[in-house]
This record gives sequence, structure tokens and C-alpha cells, in this order.
Amino acid sequence: MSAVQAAAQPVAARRRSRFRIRPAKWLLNIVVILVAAFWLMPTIGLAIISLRPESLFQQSGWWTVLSAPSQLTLQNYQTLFSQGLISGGLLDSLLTSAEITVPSTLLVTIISSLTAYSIAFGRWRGRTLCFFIIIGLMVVPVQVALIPVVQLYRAFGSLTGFNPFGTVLGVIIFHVAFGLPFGIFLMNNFYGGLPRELLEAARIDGAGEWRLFSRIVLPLGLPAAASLAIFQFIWVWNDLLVALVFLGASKHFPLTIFLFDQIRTLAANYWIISTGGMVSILVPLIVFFSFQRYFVRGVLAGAVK
Amino acid sequence: MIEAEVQPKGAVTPPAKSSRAERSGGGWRSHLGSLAFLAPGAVWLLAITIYPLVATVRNSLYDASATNFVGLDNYKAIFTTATILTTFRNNVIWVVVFPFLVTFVGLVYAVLSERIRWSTAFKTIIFVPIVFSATASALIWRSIFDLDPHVGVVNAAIQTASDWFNPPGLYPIDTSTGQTVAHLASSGVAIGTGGNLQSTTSVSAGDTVELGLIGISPTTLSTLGAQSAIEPSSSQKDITGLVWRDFSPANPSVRGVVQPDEVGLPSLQLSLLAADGSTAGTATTDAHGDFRFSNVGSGTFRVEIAPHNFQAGFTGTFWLGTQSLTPTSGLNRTEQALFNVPLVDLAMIVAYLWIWAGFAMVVIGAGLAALDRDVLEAARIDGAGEWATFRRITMPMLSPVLIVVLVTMLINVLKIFDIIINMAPGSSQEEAQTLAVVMYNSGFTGLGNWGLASAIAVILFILVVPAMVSNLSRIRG
Amino acid sequence: MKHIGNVGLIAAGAVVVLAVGACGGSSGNGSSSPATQVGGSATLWAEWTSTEQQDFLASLAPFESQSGVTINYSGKGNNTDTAIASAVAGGAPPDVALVPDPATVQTLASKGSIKPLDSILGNLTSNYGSAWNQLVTANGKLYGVWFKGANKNTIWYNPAEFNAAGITSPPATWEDLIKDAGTLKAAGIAPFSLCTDIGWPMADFWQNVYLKTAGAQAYNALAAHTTKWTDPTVTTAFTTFGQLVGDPTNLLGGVQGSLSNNYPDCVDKVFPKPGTQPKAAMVFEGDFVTSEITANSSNYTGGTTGAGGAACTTDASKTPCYNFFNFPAPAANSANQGAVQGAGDVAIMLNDTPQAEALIKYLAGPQGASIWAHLGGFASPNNKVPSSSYPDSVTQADAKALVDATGFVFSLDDLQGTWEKNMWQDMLDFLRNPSSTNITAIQAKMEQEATTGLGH
Repeated sequence: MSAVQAAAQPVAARRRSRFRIRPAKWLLNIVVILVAAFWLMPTIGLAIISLRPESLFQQSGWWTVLSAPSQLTLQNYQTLFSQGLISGGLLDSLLTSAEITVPSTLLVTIISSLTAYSIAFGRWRGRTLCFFIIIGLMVVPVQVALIPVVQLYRAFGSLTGFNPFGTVLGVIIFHVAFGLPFGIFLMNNFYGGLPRELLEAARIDGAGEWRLFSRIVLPLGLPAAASLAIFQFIWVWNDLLVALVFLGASKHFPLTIFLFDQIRTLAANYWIISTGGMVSILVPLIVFFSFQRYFVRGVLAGAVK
Repeated sequence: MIEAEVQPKGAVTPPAKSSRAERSGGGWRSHLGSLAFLAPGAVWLLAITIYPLVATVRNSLYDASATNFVGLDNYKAIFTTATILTTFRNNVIWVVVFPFLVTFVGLVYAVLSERIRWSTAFKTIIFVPIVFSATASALIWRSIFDLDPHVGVVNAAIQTASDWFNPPGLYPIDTSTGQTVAHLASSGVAIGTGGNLQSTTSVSAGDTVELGLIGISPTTLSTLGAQSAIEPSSSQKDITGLVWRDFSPANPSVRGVVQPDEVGLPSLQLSLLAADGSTAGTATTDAHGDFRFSNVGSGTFRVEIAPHNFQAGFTGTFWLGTQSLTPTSGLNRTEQALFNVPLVDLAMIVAYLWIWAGFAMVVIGAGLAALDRDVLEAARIDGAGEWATFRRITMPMLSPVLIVVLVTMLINVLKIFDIIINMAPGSSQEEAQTLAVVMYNSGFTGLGNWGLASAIAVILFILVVPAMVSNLSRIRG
Repeated sequence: MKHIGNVGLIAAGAVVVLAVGACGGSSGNGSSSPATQVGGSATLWAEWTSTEQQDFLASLAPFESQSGVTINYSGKGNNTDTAIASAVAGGAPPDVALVPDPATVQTLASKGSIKPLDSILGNLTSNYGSAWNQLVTANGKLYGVWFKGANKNTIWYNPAEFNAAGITSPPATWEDLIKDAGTLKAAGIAPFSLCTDIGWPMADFWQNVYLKTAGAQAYNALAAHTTKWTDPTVTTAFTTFGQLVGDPTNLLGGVQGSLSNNYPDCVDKVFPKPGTQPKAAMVFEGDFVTSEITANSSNYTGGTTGAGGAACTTDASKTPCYNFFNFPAPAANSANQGAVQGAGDVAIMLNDTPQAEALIKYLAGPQGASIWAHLGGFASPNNKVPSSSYPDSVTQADAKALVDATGFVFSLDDLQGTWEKNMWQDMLDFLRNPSSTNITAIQAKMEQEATTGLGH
């Protein structure tokens, strides 16, 4: 190392360190802590409201519980849960949400995998066109399909006697359709990264398409499928518009409609709203924390939904 | 965990073009297997997405029950309805403000979180609201923005600050109803020069004066321990008097006379004003409303009730209301529809930001993490400052990621529905509605006008087409 | 209603079972003879489901046992009119039905789908005032029997607050109401908790003002849009309404506070739960308000004295009260004081069978109504139903207003079809700016909306 270089080094180091001294670390941490506290506050507020008796809601804010922790009670939850499976009640809505979400998620995951397999590994003409159509479909708003699907269901009903409108099945069918574009996109991306030699080798060994899919591609694609499943789960669980259109007048409806009704109903009581709200966010929260890594992957992989 | 291991945006791969050899082998039969795999998805999409898209365009040219052809009538109706201007304006507000706001906030958070040790926890906290439904978030934020400072956090915080800087008086007026101090004057007192309540007559030593006020709530009286009003007795060198609540439940229409069931107003701070306006003394009323200015000397005076007694407290701002942030009160109806920026839109944007900032942060954070560190190092060695590096190098390298976030949020916000119907209270709904809300209301509530709703859906679709094109070109290129 | 408190449902069911046992025998001194044994069955449709259905069937129980007729009841909810229309079109209508609006009765009568009832009822027709019978008369023949009525002409007030302001009797005229508002303000009490929501309570309020200033005939003309919305009577109604709500000092929280006042929160401001003080003295809405009040606390007593004869307190944990006064007409329009706006259910006969005739006669009598009256949440315009059937002075007064009505009109906004929601918004528009220039603008807007919405 020449003398010049040796001399230059401390200068560069000093320059670096001078520019590294920024607003003190402690200030930064305070700002970040404040932001985090502000972000947590709404959820904590809701939780506390649900844990306080209704009569206190108008009298004093939920933050007063900090000085009077004895206010907290599980009464609201007990009341709502003890109603059992009354149609239109909290537990019934919880069940209906699950009835809608689980099959939708499973169907989207499976069919996306199948379709993506065909597009990624198939050799038929027009695959690329299909792929671009899928990309295009990803941003189509559900509004363009609502009315025709209602009409479709009615037509199906007069033809076969079973009208999916007003049934959980009708909602599932709709959700799957609008989950497929993103699902196919995600799975196709992942499959595209798989080594083709693996499949070629299996093909040479005489494996058919189904074997290729079920024995090789599907297991390899599990992480992506998990991402997709979790993302879809939370998306469908939280949907309001589609459920309103198809199940709005039905006896059983999902949690989002339960909350929507409570906010609008003529006998609104905040203890129901807050308790129902907490239950409604608890499920996605559990799913999220259990499968964090997959969920984030799903979100990042297709930031266009 | 949120330090995601994700393929950076550019790696989306369209299916590899199959080689000539692959393609020429065997015609349709050999593709049967993979076409069979395609079938379920394709049928589903055709039936529930592609065909309906065409059907909606058709429906938009038909009437409310989708049976009679009406041509462009629905579109005409849309563009001539007064409320549609409001709707478009709201969509414009959302589209112009939100994507940029959320991208900016996401960028700030991503940068911040890089520099602290506990970034995982921070990122989780910011990100979590995305898993809540917009419905649940709406009801959370609705209570946060509640008008009553006993319920809404925002107004409670403002009230605390306001009470600290401008503590309310013992007899605060209610500004929300437009009450002024002048409304309190009943007998013997009126707004004088200087704008405060003063005795209407001048007094001098040995005189008594009685000041009657109304509009004092029974709750205030019991809190302050008001006792029955006692008429003042005169005292030679002093000015004595009574400030009392000039309202008698037994004789509610009689004013100006101290009735047996009327009470005095305690703890009121008074000043004695000399003829030249200077303060000659101060006094406070006792539990019976009586007061005394001792040894006032010669001259005439007026008794003034200090204005801080009536200092109003903060009663809450209606954040979810339709008051406009822009000064549009002088404009006509149509202009207002175009230029109002209702307060409720602001509140809903804050709530929606709470939900989606985490998404922006995570995506941008992934982008930041994927940046080529060598380039940044080189810049530093060359002596570039932090800020210059950020502006000239980091930002341009990040711009694809930023655009992805912007476009995603733009598409999201065009269709915004849940947060509006759940968060805007009844009286603000019309002022806050967006295209998706109007589409739902016209198509699925009341009698249901399918033609109109379909036309709105077509407009919504047309609005997302640019985003669709941008996505396609990005992935192609 | 989509949501009835589910806990309330179970509780209500229990109450019905007990109450029917308690007052099963309390039939009125009806001028209807007990039904003679007829046997057979009859189909009966009405809108009531869940609790109301239980109450209705309880009121029919004596009929079933006395006449031996089995009633097959079906509750149709909000779709009663549509259901009946399709059943008639399909050729299989129920024998007897109760419909919630007289327009349906008129339509069905003109088509000959329902039978005139004069000969069946005989002098039972005198059980109802002419205002009621008129509504269901077509071509000089009577086609319906009113069973249930609801009064929307009620302004509810907290008697303890009125006492604190020295108001000993509720206002009898509109001018008295304004004066009392002033008295309340002098006493430091907010006069009105104004319900706004998406505008329907404001529309209800305005309709009452119009009814009391212009009268029942003009009201019906406006509802049918034979009178234009630009008519001077409409301007008068707005200006009169503005005397109260145009002065923000009359409203709790001023204009902004009112706009954030949803139903039923606005009721809670006058009749709060224990632990909160009332914030205003009066609130306007129909008699369904009582269910919200009693749900807030069982301490609430209807009338001007609290439980056990104690004085009314503002403290809801002690002996709070609730009461109403009839919506006052301006002194110059005192002829309209007896006009009542509300709702009701009228029984019509679609198939002339002996069972149906017996049922109609029973419904025209006081016995069935008395049973439901006893159970609460019910009022009847039948003048033979004894006051003692009603559980408290409030419901008694409520029913009396229905019975004595010199004119009865149905809710105007419900008859406006597609532009109903626009009408509600226009009312909020008026609240935000009650100036006379805005009134003119709003009237023009409403006229345009009515023409587009109603098609004429």
C-alpha cells in the first residue's frame, strides 16, 4: 500500500464516519416507537372496548381503563357466545365465514396449480396468450361480473331447479373465479423457476401428465401453494361486497355482513360491534402469525391484486 | 419473516416458448393431458369472469330489469345526475391523494426500519392491519373519530390539549350550538364596550346591583354547589351585589326578579370597571351568588363578569362529517359538488392508510433489501452524502418498486367500497360515496337498476384499463 | 327488520307464554259476539314474524277455540304486498291477509280480488272512526278492517327535564313548542336531540309539520304528486320546520352534532342508560322509540310519575320516566290537530268462505286486539278496545290518538318509491342550510326528483 493510499484511507474513513453521524439514534428510536404505538392503538382500543361493559361506552373513553383496570370483563363475549348458533348471530356468522372461505381457498389453490401447470409445462399453442389474458384478468374489478352472474345463477336455477343465488355455494363459485387469475399467476411464476430437466427426465421415464403433476410439481410447489392459500384465505374471509350481493338477504351470512348489519341496524350497540370485530380479526390474525412467511411471500409475489 | 425472501419484481416469467420440436409432436391428442389440466380453470374463468364482462357491457345498454334496449340512456343518466359529480370528485380525491401518500409513508417506514434494531417487530406491527377486513377497520376508526370526546380518541386528545392551553371556565358556553355569552344575559346585564357582560347601570359606593343570567345548566349548578340566591344588602363604602340564575321552575316566564326557588351563581370572577375603563377591583361570588367590592372610593363603576368564566371547552369536531376542507361555501351546488373536500374523506384516507402502509412498507423494504449494495458503497467512498445518495441513486433504483406500489394502490382505490359504507355515517354517505358504492346502491338496493349499475361497472372497468395495460407491458418487456 | 336482538327474542318468547297465561281471560266488553262453531280451516297471511308472530297468534287463540277454525298462518315480512300480488295472479290467494298499506287494498278492490265487507260486519263498522274506514273504502264499499296501528305523530320528552324547566304541561300548539324550547334553553337544557341518520327521521319530522300545517287532504295530494313540491304549502312547511331546526341553539350539538346523531343514539341522549345524564329534553320519532327506551333500562316508567309514584328523576338508575305529546299544529291550523300520521295493518278477505268471514268478524272486534295490547308493542285504532288493555298510560294515550284521529295518513316518504332516498338527502340539505334561498332551491330539486322518480 502506497503512502498516498495509506493517507487516503483515514481521510475516507473520517469522511464516512462524519456522514454516518445522523440524527441521534435515540431520536430515531423515539420516532419509531411513537409510530408503532400509534399503529397499535386502534386495535388495542377495539379490544378494550369489547372488554368493557356497554354502559361505560358513552361515559368514558376506553383509555380510562388504564387507571381503572377493574372495568375489564369478558361479559360481552360470554353473552354473544352463549347465544349459540342462532341464525344471524355471531357464531353462526363465524361458521358461515368458514364455510365460504375454506372451500374457496382449497379450490383456488388446486385449480390454480392445475392451470399454471398447463401453462408452464404444456406445449400447446396459445399458452402465452392465455398467460397474458390471466394478467389482464387480475385487475378486473368484481363489479363487472356481479349482475351477469346473478342472472346466470337464475338461468341455471330455472333450468335445473337449483339456483345458487343466496347460497354459500354461489359465493364460493364467484370467489374462486376472481381468485384464479392471481393464483395462476403466482403458481406459474413459481413453476417457471423449477428445473425443466427434472420433468424431462420423468417424461423420458414414461410418466404421464398426472403423475408429473402430482408426484413432482405439486410437492415442489407446496411453498408457493401455501402462500397462495393463505393470501386467498384472508382475502375471502374479509370480503364484504360479494357476500352482500349474494347472501345479503339470506338467513346465514358471514362475519363481514354481521358487522355491516350491526353498524347499520336500528338497535346498534357498540358492545356487539366491538366484540364481533375482535372475533372477526382474530381468525386472520391467527392465520397470519402462524404462516407469516408464506403470507408475506404471497403479498410480495403479486403486488397487483 | 417480513424480511422477505422474494423474487424481485423483474423476475416474472412468461411461459417459455416451446421449441419447434416440442410443438410439432403429435397435434391435439398429445396435448390432451395438459389441456385437461387447463380445462377447469378455463371454464371457470370463461363462465364467471370473461362472459360476465361482455354481459355487463350488454346490460349497460338495457334498462333497469335488463330486458329492454335503451342504448346510451344509462350513460346519459349517469353524467347528468347531480350526485355523480360528487361521486367522481370523491374518486378523484382518493386516486390523487392515496396512492402517493401510502407510497411515501411506506418508503419512510421502510427506510426507518432499516436503521433500527427491532425492525422485525416494528414491521409486524405496521403490517398486521392488512389482515383485518376493511369492515373491521372501518368500525375501529369510526369510534376513533367519534364526535364525543368521551368516546373518540382524536377529539379526546384535542380536548386534553385544548383544556391545557385554554382551560374552560366554570360556566363554559357551548360553541357547538352557536351559543354566545350574549345569550346568557337576562336582566341587569348586557354586552358592554369591550365585548364582555357588564351591568347595565352604573353604580357607586353604597349601591347594590343584581345581575341575572340564564342558560346555565342544572348540572353545572349542582357541580358548583349553588345555593339559593340571597338579595344583597347595601353597605356604605362598598358595592355589593348578586349574580344569580334568573330562572324559576315555578314561574318560568318571569325574569328580572329574584324568586324563592332561584339560585345564585357561585365562583364567578368579577371586575369593577371605573368610568375610564380601568379595573378598580375584583371579587368572586360566594355560594349564594353574592359578592362585595370593598372600599371602592368615589366615582361610578360598572360590574363586569370576566370572560374567562365562560371560556368554552372543546366539544369535538365532526371528523366524519361533510364540512369541506376547501373554502367552497360561497359556490353554487354544482361547483360545490366538484370542489368540496369533505372532512370524512380525510378521515377515511387516514383509516385506509393505517391498513395499507404496511403493504407499501414491506414491498419497498424488499426492494431496498435487493438493492445493489456495491453501487451505494461506491457512492459513499466517492464522498456522496447520505441524502444525495438517497436522492440520486437509491430512489431511481427503487423506482420500479415504487411504481408497482403506486399502481397496485391506484387499482385498489378505484374500487374502494367497504371502508366507505361502513365508516361514513348516514348523513355523510352521499357526500362520501364513490363509484363502487353507487354501483352497489343502484344495482342491489331498493328496486335495483341493473342497467345503471352495469353502466357504472363498465366505467369502473374502463378506468382500470390503463393499469391493466401498464402491467401487461411491464411483464412483457 | 333484519335484526331483532337475539337474546331479546328468547326473552320475548318467554314473556309471551307467561303473559298469555296471565291475560288470556281479559277480553274486552266487545260488541262482537263470540264466534259460533264453524270448524274447518283458513289460510292467513300477514307481515309478522318471530316475536310479533307469536303475539299475533296469541291474539287469535280465542277465535280458534271458540269457532273451531284452524288457522294456517304464514308471515311474509317486508314482502307481504308482493307475495299477495303474486298469489292473486297465480290464482291461489290466502283466505284472509293483513296488508301494511291501504294503497294495496285499493288496488286489489279495483281488480275485484277482495270482497266487500259491509254485509259481513254489519254494525261492527262503527268500531272504527270514519278516518280509518275511509282509507279502505272503494266505490262506497268497505273492504278492510284495521287491526293494528302505529302512531308516528309523537314527540317524546323526558318529564324530569320538563319539570326542571318548569314546564308543567306539554305544548299544545307549534308556537307553544317553540316557546317551551326557549324556556328549556333559559333553564340551560338543550331542547331537542335531532335524529338525522341518512335523513329518514328528518323526513318523518317534516311530514308531520306538513300534515299539521296543510292538512290530511293536502298531504295525500302531495304524496301522490298531484300537488307539486314547488307549492307554497311546501314552502310553509319548510319555513315552519325551520323555526325549530333552523336555530342551532335548539339542537343538541348544533348542526354538526345533529348530523352525527344516528338513530337510536339520538333517543339515548334523552333517555340514557344508567350512569349517564340526559343531554336533551325532547326527541321526535314514532312510537317504536319505546322499545329503545325500555331496553336502555327497565327503570323507565311511561307517564309523568316514576316507578311507585315517585317523582321522575333525570338519573336513569333511580325512577326515570318517558312520555310523549301529540305533534302540535300551529294555532292557526288547529283543525289539523287531530290528523295523525302513522302506519297500520288492515285485514282483507280474498276468499269468501265461512271461516274467512268468521275470522274477519273476530278481527273487527276488540278481543284479539286486547290480547296483543296487553303484551305490549301494539296499538289498535279499534274504539272498542278498552284502555285497560294497554300496559301503561303512554300506550293508552298512543292508542287514543289513533282512535280519535280525524284524519289518518301514511308515511309520505314510503310512498315515493325510487326517489325516497333523495328526499331524505334533501332534508339533510335543508338542515345544513335552512335559508329561504336554499328552501327554494331544494323545492325545485325535489320537484325534479319526484317527477323522474314517480314518472309523473
